[in-house]
Amino acid sequence: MANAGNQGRPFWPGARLPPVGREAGGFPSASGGPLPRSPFASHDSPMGRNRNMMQEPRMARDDVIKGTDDDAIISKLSAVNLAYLDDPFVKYFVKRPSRRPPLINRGSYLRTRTLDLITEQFIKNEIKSASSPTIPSTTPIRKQIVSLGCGSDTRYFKLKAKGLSVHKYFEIDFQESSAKKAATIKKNKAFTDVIGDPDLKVGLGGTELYSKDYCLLSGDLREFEDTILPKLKAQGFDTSLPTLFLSECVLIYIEPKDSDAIVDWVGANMTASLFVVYEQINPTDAFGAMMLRNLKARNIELPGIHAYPSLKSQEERFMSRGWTLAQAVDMNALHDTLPETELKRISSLEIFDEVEEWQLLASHYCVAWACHVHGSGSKADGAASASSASATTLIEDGPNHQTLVTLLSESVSGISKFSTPRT
Amino acid sequence: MGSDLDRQIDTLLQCKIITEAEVKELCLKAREILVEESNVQRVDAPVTVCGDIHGQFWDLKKLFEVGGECPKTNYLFMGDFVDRGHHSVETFLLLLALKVRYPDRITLIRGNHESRQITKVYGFYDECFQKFGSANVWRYCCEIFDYLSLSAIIDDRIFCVHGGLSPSINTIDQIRTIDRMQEVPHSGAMCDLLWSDPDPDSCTGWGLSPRGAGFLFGETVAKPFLHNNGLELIARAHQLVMEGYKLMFDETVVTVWSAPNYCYRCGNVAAILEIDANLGKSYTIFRDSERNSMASRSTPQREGPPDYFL
Repeated sequence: MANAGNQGRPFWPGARLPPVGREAGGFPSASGGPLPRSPFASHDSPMGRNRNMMQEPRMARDDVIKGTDDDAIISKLSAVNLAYLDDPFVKYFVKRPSRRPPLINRGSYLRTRTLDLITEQFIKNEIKSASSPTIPSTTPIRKQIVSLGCGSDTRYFKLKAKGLSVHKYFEIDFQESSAKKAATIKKNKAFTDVIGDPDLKVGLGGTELYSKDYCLLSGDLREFEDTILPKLKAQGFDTSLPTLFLSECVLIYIEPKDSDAIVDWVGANMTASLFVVYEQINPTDAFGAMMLRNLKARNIELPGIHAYPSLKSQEERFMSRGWTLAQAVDMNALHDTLPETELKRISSLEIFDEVEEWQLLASHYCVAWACHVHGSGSKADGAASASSASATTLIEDGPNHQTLVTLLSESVSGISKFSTPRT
Repeated sequence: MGSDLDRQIDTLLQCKIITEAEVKELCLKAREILVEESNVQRVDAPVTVCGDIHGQFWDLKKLFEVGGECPKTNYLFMGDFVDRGHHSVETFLLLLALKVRYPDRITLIRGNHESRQITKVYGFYDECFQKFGSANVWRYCCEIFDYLSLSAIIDDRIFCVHGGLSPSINTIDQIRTIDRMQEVPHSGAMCDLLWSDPDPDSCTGWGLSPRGAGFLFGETVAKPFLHNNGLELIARAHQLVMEGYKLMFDETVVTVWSAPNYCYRCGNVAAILEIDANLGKSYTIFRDSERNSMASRSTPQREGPPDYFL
């Protein structure tokens, strides 16, 4: 009986094992050479020369935060090179690829896949308005995406290359990070082809990009309302459009008062928004405490983790501010949502002997999402232009409040049924 | 000869490597000893049973501090000496040198990481290459892995194995018939012994393993196996246990985990199982060595801090 179980098992891959070490073709050994990890080494900061003494600690911390993007993008490329992920754009952001351990590859894959799926659903979902005879059964609705602290994220390019785009896709990061990204995008046809706008413009000394549907903006998220918002609005950001806000390991790096200010602003000013957060949780158990210690040894602090240390508090972050709904799940729950074929596929890519450690690590990362829709009769933002009439019309119609909630919550419907953490 | 070996042990005890030629010589001698061992190596109590070490050299030193030095204490290590940690080379060579020096005072059985395929993914191969400039030492060690025994039995009562049971095996004698001198296969009895896990939630006997090799075995499998073979306990390693050890199935199966703060990341404590002459059992818990954090800070390029998602 037991031997019959051999059929269909996710066997480790035998001869198909990807090469490692120095025998590898084009894929350096995991330990071959120093990793570009130092947060201080890689950025030739135009701001560096102007630092004054008062700013030093904050700027040193900021450099470390910028460095975390290097780490994340190397991990993502590792997952791409091993075929966990399909993304032809990541490689342009990595100078020295490095193969990461299987559990890191699996985590990078799962995080990226989850946020990709949510974003795809957000883009694909149409408003179903059977109640109104004047509107076709599905009406395309213009949408926006705002990627907070985007780093070298490639989601805009990946999705648009697949034919999935929105009215406006905004990316925001520190000036030094956005400058690096802008330069990479500008000089590679792979990116400019996808943007597909002959009027693609470089701004602010090469730190920003503006095109029809894609804008890369520079700024400090701690000054969201004062600095970021005017830039967004100048590029056509429309508070009346359904908007997805993405924060992948971003809000946790800033003080809770600063991240709360962003959530508060979105809730108060956006007509319909979906906010998705991916970040660390559970800082006080043995693994979590060691995580903080190890990160601290790399000069990485997570000022936000104690404010939102659990799935419950991640949900409360939004619910206590009057959001319509909020849910948070850890990465173990997300792993459980992988379809069997997909689990089989990734299990065949590498040996995976880190089951217990994976479960520990995965229980310390969560994806939280929340949506907020102003009720009918709520204030329409003064900036809403005539061109956003379709959205405004929808919002002013009574039932469309629920329609928008459905539109947004369906974006995460595939995973929302796993909102109960595993025991 | 003996003094050469003692000198090598002294070197390795300082977490320093010996030469490639010395490794080759050591492996030749180890092979002569291991080839004589049974697939189910007989061990006499008292003995101290240890789980995974995974190249955490300074924690192995801590283990010897806590459990007593070899040969004063009789040791049984249940595999997974290499991979993951920063010092697989020093760790395995030290254990192997002790085996050659005191063959009757230390028993090494094979874990699933003592394999060519696994060590290529999980670090031992890279580490050998980095420390010796070629894969020769890795190759010598892998040859030795093939000679390591698959299990041990203490005073005919306590069965020790890295992973667990196999649906292909009902009796201890069946293990004795396995031709073990090979790379760990992807399926079958030898694979299962090194890969399987007990499943505390299992109602039925056997289940699929999330590792993709070996099986999950439940209480209804473990207890008859013990009964049929006149045993009282299965001691195994293979799974991280935050508390260092975990008793299951009415104390008929125990997991012993001996890598504290596994991968310098997990924050767990480690344990060793001390079995006295009357087969009385006591567990000693220990924490990781302070040397780990010092070492990784002083040479960040070589050893690197543990990975997280950032």
